[in-house]
Amino acid sequence: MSIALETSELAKRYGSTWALRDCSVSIPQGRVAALVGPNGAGKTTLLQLAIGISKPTAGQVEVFGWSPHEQPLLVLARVGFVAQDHPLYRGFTVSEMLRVGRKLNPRWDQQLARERLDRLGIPVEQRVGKLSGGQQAQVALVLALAKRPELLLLDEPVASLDPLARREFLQSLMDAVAEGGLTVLLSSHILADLERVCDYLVILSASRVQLAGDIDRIVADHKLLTGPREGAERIAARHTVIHERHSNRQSTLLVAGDRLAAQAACSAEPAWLAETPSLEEIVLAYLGQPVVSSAPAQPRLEVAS
Amino acid sequence: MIWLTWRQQRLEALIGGAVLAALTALLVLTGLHIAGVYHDGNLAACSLGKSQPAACGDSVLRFGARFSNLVNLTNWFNMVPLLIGILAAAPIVLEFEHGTHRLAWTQTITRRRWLATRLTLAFGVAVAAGLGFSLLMTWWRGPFDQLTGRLDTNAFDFEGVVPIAYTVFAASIVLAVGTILRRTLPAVAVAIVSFLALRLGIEGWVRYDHYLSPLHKTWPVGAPAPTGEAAGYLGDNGLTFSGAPDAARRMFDSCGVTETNPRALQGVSHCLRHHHVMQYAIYQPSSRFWTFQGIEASIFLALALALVAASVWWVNHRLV
Repeated sequence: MSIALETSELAKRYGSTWALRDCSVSIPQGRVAALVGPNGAGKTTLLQLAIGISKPTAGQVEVFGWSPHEQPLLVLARVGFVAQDHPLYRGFTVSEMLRVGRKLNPRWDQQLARERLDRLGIPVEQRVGKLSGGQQAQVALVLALAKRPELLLLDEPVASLDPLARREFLQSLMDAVAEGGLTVLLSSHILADLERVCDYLVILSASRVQLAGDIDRIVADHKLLTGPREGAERIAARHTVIHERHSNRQSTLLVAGDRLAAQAACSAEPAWLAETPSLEEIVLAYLGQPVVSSAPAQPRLEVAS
Repeated sequence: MIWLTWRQQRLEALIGGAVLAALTALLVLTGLHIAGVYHDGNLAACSLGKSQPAACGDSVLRFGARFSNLVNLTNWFNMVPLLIGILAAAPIVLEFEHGTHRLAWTQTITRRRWLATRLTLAFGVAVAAGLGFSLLMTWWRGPFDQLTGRLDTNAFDFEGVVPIAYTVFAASIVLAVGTILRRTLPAVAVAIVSFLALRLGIEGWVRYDHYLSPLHKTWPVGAPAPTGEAAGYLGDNGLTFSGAPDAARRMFDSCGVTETNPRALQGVSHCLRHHHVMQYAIYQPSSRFWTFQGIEASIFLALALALVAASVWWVNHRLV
């Protein structure tokens, strides 16, 4: 399968602060990838490096094999981008916004834009500043999609929206994905929204990639082991423990490893129970881990695609 | 891109256009009146470089006095280049403030081309408006300039090329400060303060003292002043007398210099001439107009160039 976005040892520094470090990740074509991490983890930086409005301090980033900052027009024509807070010219009417898109993009699809706006019930003669936040986000998405992009980058697209607008936005996004030929990378610090939409996950924390891969594979490759506290150390010795939680009597360990290994562990310790964790439990476990050393600190899950 | 730039500058262009139109109307109406008075008074005969008929001194003074309020009013027009510069550059800064540059830069257009188009249009408008303002003021001030030259502040600041340089400079400060702060109002505030400080500083302490050395002339009391003295910029003038200070005081007392009666003044100047008192003037002749214009415009344009270069560097290397 070909790769839409690939970075290797990508790093970005602002002054003395590293916004992103040692970031090696690849998003296969056709995936809807969630970029998850706390605020300040480097999500925005990674997306800005991918579209080329920011230059890497070190490392490489390639979009469909091109460097975004060295061959900007090749990349820009193929990538749709919705920046954080979906900036739009607030004094423009919606149809003037479309005119901007038409003037500045060679692959612009006016019909697609008009149809999508019609379906959403957004009047084109309305001023953008007078639209609701949800409608503005939708207009920004329409502008990005009418470029006919092969890769769509969305930076916290739903963070500022109310739950209803959030759902409608993600529905629009899923409709666009269903039409085919689109790879999506969207960042968020709210996982619940993304779980329905995404099939690929990149966890970014403390400027580093903690985990990246297919969501199904990630869920299958982690187990939640629960048992009496006194057995916890023996279990931990045989597994890569991502996160552990202890109460007075009981211990809960989130471990990396496949089903068979987990079963074997539990049959050796009959009091222990292996469960499939939810995606949220896995993400929180990875985000909860302190990161200290400069080498990729966490056990990385290698996911062949 | 050109359509987008125009659409983004439209409001500012309309405001600037309205201000300039009002200004034009005011200047054309008063200017026609001034030109009429100048013509009817046959003042052309009194213009610089002509052999002046005896009546000229009085009629030139009366002409000047009649319109002095109007000419003083034009001091406010020093704000016009500042206003044009702010209106030309603010839309670019607003884009950085609102983050919409990220929308523009992620369309299929390079940052370089986006910036080149925005700057070309903003500064093109600034130069055109500055030039229009200069031409209008030069026409309006024509009668005054014929009589008194163009080197004094209320002519020099509005004519020739310096209004264009001031406009471009004002736009550059707004651009540079706004690009770095990404805030429009603080950028405009900084621009207003630094523009006025530099303009007043150069006018008050640099232009007439240091662009070229001022000329010193002395001549006998009561004799006509050397040509050019009245027409240029007068730095200092008065009476000069070689002798001890107390001798001067005694001599002034004996000539009755405190008298203000014009007929008595005739006697006074006769008395002073008798004591070898000379009149002197330190001045810049009006023939230096274009040299001074060139020097002043170069200063402001060089600063503007440095500010624009800094802004371009910042946009290309620092702005995300």
